[in-house]
Order: sequence, then C-alpha cells, then structure tokens
Amino acid sequence: MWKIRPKISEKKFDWNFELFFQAAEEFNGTFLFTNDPENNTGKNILGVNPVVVITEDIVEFGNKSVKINPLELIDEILRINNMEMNHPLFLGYLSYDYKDQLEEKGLFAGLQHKKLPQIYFVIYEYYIITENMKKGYAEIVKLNFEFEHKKFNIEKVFNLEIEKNVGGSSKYIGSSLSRDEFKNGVEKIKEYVKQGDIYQANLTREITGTTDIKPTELASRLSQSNPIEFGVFSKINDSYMISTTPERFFRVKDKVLTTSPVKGTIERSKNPVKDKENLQILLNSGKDKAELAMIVDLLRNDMHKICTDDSVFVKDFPMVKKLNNVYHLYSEIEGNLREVNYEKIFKALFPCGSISGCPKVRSCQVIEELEGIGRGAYTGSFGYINFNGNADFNILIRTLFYEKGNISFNVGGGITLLSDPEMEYRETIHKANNIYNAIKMEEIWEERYCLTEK
Amino acid sequence: MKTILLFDNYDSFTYNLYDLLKTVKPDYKIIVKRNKDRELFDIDFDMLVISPGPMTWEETGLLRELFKKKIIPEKIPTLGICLGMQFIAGYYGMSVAEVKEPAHGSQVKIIHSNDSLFNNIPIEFKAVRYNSLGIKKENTANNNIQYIAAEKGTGAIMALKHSTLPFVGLQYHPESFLSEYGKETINNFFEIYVEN
Repeated sequence: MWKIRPKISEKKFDWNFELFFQAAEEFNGTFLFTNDPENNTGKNILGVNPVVVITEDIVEFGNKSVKINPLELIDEILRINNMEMNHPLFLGYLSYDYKDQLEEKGLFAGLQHKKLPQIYFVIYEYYIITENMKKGYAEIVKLNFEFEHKKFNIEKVFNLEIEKNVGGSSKYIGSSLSRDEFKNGVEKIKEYVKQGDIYQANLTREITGTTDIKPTELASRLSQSNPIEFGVFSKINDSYMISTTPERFFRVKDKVLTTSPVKGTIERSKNPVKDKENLQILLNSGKDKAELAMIVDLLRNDMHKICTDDSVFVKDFPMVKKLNNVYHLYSEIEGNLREVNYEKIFKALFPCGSISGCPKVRSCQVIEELEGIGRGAYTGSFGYINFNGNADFNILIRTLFYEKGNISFNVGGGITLLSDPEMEYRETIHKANNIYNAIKMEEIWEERYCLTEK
Repeated sequence: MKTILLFDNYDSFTYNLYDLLKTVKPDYKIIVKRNKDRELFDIDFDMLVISPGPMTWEETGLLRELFKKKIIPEKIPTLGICLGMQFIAGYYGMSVAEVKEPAHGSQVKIIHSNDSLFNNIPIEFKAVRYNSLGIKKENTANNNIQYIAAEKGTGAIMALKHSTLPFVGLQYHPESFLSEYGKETINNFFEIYVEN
C-alpha cells in the first residue's frame, strides 16, 4: 500500500464557482461546494487530476488496476496515511444501489442503474480549498505518490479562461412512473403502512430527457436555482453528476458523528406578522414533528451501532432552520464513534432513512417493488474524507445526471398514511419544476398541469 | 455475567433498545440476532427482548419455534416491544388487527394500572407510538394475559403481562427519545423478573 505525502501551500487568486465548474470539466475533477444557508459560510473543494480511482471491485492507479473491496481499501489507505491533517484525501460517493452490498445477502432484489459506478472514490493529485468568506484566497494541497502517474500542472487552473455560457434548451423523454402509476404507488405504500409493514416510505420517479446545454452551464444554472447545503459537480468518465442538495447526511469530526435530519417546510412571508404565524404553524404541525421524530429515532438506531454506549444524544428537538424563502424543522444527533472506520460507518448508516423509509429494510424492499428500477446515485451520498479521518457527506437529492446530451433526475417524497396520491404527485411536479426552469425543459402538460392553478 | 438475547425483527429501532438496555444494565452482555438466524438456538441467555418490526406477529421468523422450545419450558423472562408485544398477545390467542388510530412517531399519554412494572412512575406519562396494528379492544384479557396500561383517550392497550409466566409486552416504544420513563420501566422489569 502507498504512503501519500501532502504538501500544502497558499495562493491568492480570484476564484469563483464558474471557474471551478470549468476546471472540474476540463481536468476530470470534482467540485464540492458546501454552504450553511443560514449564515452563508461554507467550504469548497476542487479536486483535479484523478490518480487513484476506486470503484465496485477495482482500484486503478498509475497504469495498474487491482481487484479490491472498495470500503476496506479506503480504511486501509486512511490507516496508513493517518495524520493530523484536516485536508481532503478522498472525494467520492456511494450510490443508493450500493446498499445491496452493505446488507445481508438476498434481502434486496439487486436493482441497478447502469449509468454510473455504484461506488466511486478518488484520490486527486491536487485539491484547491476555498472558503466563501475568504474571497481571493485558496489553499492548495498537492499529493505526492510513491508510484508513477500522469502529472498535472496546477497553473492551468489558475489561468483558466472561463468559457461563455451559450444557452440551449432541454427536451423531455419521459417519466419512469406515469401519473397513474405514481398514484398507485402512493396507495400501495399506504396499504403497507396500514397492514403494519412500514411506517413510511419514499417514492420517487425518474425523469429523462435530452439537452444541448453544456454541463458546466447546467451546473451554473442549477446552483442558482435553490438554496444549497452541499452541492456537487463531478466529471466521472464521460458522465457528469450535478447536485444542488439541501440535505447533509452525516459529518465526522474528531471521532464525533453528527447527523442533522430535516423534515417539514413552510414558506416565509415578507409580512413579519404572517411570517411569525407561519413559523408557529410549522412548530405546531403534529404530522411534521412525528415524521421528524421517526427519522431521529431511526438515525439514533443506526448511530448506536457504531458509537460508544450511551453516547448518542439528540441535541434539540425540533429546531428551526431559517432560510431566505422557507423555514424547515430539523434536529441534530451526536454520538462518539468507537472507531473511525468507513466500512462500519456506511454499513450502519447507509442509505439514509429520510430517503428510504422506516423500518429501513422493509421500506427499501417496498421501494424496489414500486419503483421497479434502480435509483443509481440518486439518494446515495457524496462527500469527502480527510487525512485525519474527518468527513462530510450529503444526500444526493436534487441531482442531475448527464451523459452525452442525455439527462435524468428523480423527484419524489415521503409517503405516510396521511398522504393524498394526487397531492403527492403534484409535489413531485413542484420539485421537478425548479429543475425544469433551470435546464429550460420544454413544457409537457403531464408535468405542469398543476402549476398554473396556484 | 448475565446475557440478554435481543431478537431483531429487521427493525430500525433495535439498537435504540440495545442502548437503553446497556444504559440500565451496563454489566449485561447483549447478543443481537436477526429473526431468521438459526444461531440463536445455540445461545445461552437469561432474558429475551423482542424488537419491534415490520409486518405481523406471525411473520417473526424463528420466534414461535424459540418460544415453544426454550422460552416457555425454561420460563425465560421476556420483554416484547410493539411487534414483540403483539407476538406475546397473538401467541396466547388474542386477536391483533389494524387499529382505528394508527400513529407513527406521535407522542401519546399512557395511563398504567399500578402494576409493579410501573413502580415509582407517575400514573400518567408520555410515550411514542409507532404502530398500525394492535390488540383488538374487543379482546377481554383472558386467563393468560393481563392488561397493565392503556392510551389515554382511545383506551388502546399499551402494556400487558402474562399471569404466571415472566412475559411482558409494551405497545409503545420506551426506547424512543420522546418517551418518558423508558429507563425506569426497563429497570423495574429487571428487578421483578430477572434479578429476583
């Protein structure tokens, strides 16, 4: 196994997101942009020039490839290179479909979305780290490896000329579930809830289309379309993943594991009296609090598997996240990890209960039955792991996949006994509409009929 | 050292129970086995805890077999939560069916009947329910089963015990972070049934 030697330097240069999108595009990179929408602080990481690429059962480095178990290898590399450096070592993701590899054999149907690797972690030669509050400044991490590999000149990033956006539009191909099929799915989940199989499950549908807008421009347009907590622009072979997710999954900091589930949303008003009223409505909503309580209990459960006895606690419940346009209910749960071992962490936590359901195993089975196809990376988790073992992972919702002009994304929601099938379908349209506007999708009646009724 | 077998019905709250048991009894060894795992027949244990879980009490894998072969003959103290309670009730002939007021994550008020399980716990306390199925209220307690707590307002059965054997069931979830007196109830169970 390899020793990796990092070298850190500082650089003054005038960066912006457009430049990082383009650098990721041109130099096979990944750009992660995190944000705390409440106070606009956030950290961004650009990784360029992949040197070590870990997928399902292969690691490629230099011109070699070796059969491996991906999460075991990640832990092994972390163990060998463990040092007090809070700088990124790996960027990458687990697809939702990878859950099958983390659970008992035979529990799941093995549905797979073929588009992207099921699991994908990369060690890049260079990381450029920036903070939203420190414009014009960046930290550069260069990793040195013991083996020969293709070298990169980082000056190329600093000197990059930003290409002009040229526009374009997108065309609709279809939805993996029709309106009727989706509504039947909602009914079926309610049946399952009534007969005691589950308490709630998330039902989603995949929308496919084509576009002539280039990926960097899609990223730029999508990233302006809604508040982002943890965005991704990643070039993976000939494909791209663009996420503008508002949800984090978990963080690890100095062996402390934190999750922060969000449930329940209400619009804000410019009228301060009405704004206060709306907040009270949200705080008094039994339905939202019950759903949040369920996911808090589920996350506590998953965290107990890997945390020391009696260390997992709910910091506060419920708390209110105040964004520009909406209020959310959320909670925060903390626990002390017995050890920082990512195979164990992902086996315990993945996939997140908020995008599967509760109880989780049975919910995932119901989802397989009703969605009929794999979800791919959608509702998986993208993030980074640092040399010192710290990490931050998101939940891949509001995520667009692009390959040679073909695009796809999923929309869905949590279905409970109180869900109304038509309203749940409309909710998916509202969620899709944000993306449609950003990617200039042609107007399709089935996907828009409820938008003018407001 | 005493051992607890935590019988896991593929649930997402099993490890909350694990932690609750560990908090109350740090010296006990807890072994978690999923409900289809035949290895559970090879374990020597002093107490059984049946986790909540999906589906019905009759779809709990090897539980019925375990009950017949080991739990009843050896009179092993057993605590069933949610589905676990429904199993104890169903096993002794009570009917478990869809309830009128399903609840998933809601805090409700529980009123107990001063059974020793609730020693030193206020007569009324708050706890969380996650269930669509429950014991039909038309079931009057039979010779084997006694009701010891109900939900305020609806009267839904929230706790029961066997008349002669050391079996207790809770319909609500003492391991939820929004349930009160979970530790105290579990501690009472140990004192009455396991450590006497």
